[in-house]
Amino acid sequence: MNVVKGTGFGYGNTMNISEWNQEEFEKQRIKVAQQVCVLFRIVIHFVEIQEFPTNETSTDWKTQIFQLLESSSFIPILESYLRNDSFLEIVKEIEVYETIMTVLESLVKFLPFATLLDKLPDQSTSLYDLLKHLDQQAQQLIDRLSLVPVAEQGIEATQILLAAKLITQSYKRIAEFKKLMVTKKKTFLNSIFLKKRAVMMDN
Amino acid sequence: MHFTLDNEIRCFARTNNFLCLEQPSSVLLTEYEFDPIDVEVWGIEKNLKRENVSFERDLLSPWKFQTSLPLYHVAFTTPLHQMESELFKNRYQIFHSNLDSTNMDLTRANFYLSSFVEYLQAKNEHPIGSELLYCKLKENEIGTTNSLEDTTVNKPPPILTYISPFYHSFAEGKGLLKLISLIEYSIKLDNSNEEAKNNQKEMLLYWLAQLKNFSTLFGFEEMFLAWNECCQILITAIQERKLSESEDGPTNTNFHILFEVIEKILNGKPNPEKIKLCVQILEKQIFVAILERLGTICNISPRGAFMKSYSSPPTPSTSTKESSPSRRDISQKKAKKRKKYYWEKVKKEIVFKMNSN
Repeated sequence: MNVVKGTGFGYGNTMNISEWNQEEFEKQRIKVAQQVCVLFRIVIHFVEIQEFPTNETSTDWKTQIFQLLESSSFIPILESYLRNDSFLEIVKEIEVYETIMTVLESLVKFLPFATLLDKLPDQSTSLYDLLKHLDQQAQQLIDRLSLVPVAEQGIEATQILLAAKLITQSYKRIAEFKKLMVTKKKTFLNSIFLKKRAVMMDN
Repeated sequence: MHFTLDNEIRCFARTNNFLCLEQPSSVLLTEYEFDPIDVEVWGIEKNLKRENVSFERDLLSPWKFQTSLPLYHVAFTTPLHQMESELFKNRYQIFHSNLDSTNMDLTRANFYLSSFVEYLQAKNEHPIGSELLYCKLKENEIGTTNSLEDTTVNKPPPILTYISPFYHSFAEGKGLLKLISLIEYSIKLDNSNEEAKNNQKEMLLYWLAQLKNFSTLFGFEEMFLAWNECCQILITAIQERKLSESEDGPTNTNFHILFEVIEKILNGKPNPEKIKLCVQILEKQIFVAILERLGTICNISPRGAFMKSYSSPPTPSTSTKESSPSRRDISQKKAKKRKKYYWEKVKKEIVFKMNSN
């Protein structure tokens, strides 16, 4: 069969096409987004809890939470959201992105969780780099859309602009916190090193 | 002292007459118009002695409350349903299911209020960082305030001042916070009369049932598996205890039941620190369940193998495929064994933590 170059083909069962329900799909998507938001918010509270006194138990608790976050699907989920640079998609799930930005801000504020934004073993790109990339895309969009007079901007463009601004503002805050954390991280790693050395000396 | 109710505020408990709010930084009543005359504020530090409060209203900026006392107690004479609809319903997620007014009678509401007051005292003893705002609605409907005053005067400092991370996660926090305050309250009321004890027991069972219902809060069945399991253990133990109590006579107090159940897990003497740790460990299990749930929803697998060692055991297959009864029995037995092994592991971990502590 001779077909013009670039023509797409779809092979699949079209018998069940009548079962496809756009409304149902949309409802499901919203439900999932809400659930993800709720779960992320709970995670935030676990990260932010500072009520424990700084004793062995508290360190242990934080370390355990850190290990769980590091080894669970938490990071890959954040990655998958941050890899999406389609702002049309982001606008649809703006609540999730708002929550994700809060998650990242919470992570970067507290040790040892701040290290989760850095490149982890077996990770191709760090969360921070992905966010940086997304910020660049957002910045480009803002630059382009700001050239269009406000009166001529449609609802979609306004929503995209808002989403882009959310990303850039969050990135800015996260980047600032990250700078502050560098010193703290050094002290933290140093303390771990000292502890380990003490254990080795004891042995 | 200025307070503003901003979007940080969260409702963490609601009863027929009370609305307990968390006040992390400030109080700012936006998007809600009420007559300042309907609002009375008094502080806990003076044994709930009422103080006059001045209000200032700025049309450009939101409401500001001005009082010389910490704003722990705010009485809104405005109907609760208006408060919810206007102020909270849309902006703050309030979960009506567990603390619905129909489920909460006056005694329970009073009890809740009392324990909450104690909780505030706990906060005073050991500042936690976030201010609390307590809103009591329609004071006249709950009777006299004597019971409140009684709970605030000459009480020993609470032994538990732990706030669960779930406390901040709207509805989830209620249970753990409540459980802890119940434990505190139980100890204090140990020497009180039988009627009070029975009320406490009723409350205990009520809240344990509420905890058990957590799984249906969001429709996340597996999310609170660990916690539910724990509650089931508690409930069963209480029931067992109830039976044995009738044989032993009234010498055993109801309030030690919870402790004894926890003791069963901890294999040691009741110790607030141990209970705190026990709660933390259970929370960790719930945290694992949350992370697992996140992965399931997003269909993304975990990065490492750490989860496997902590994750809850797989539930028996719900496949509709027909299988022979014998095979099904075997798989159920295996699932039971896995479950047992898992909880044994959790218990071991708790005991290990206790010992190492």
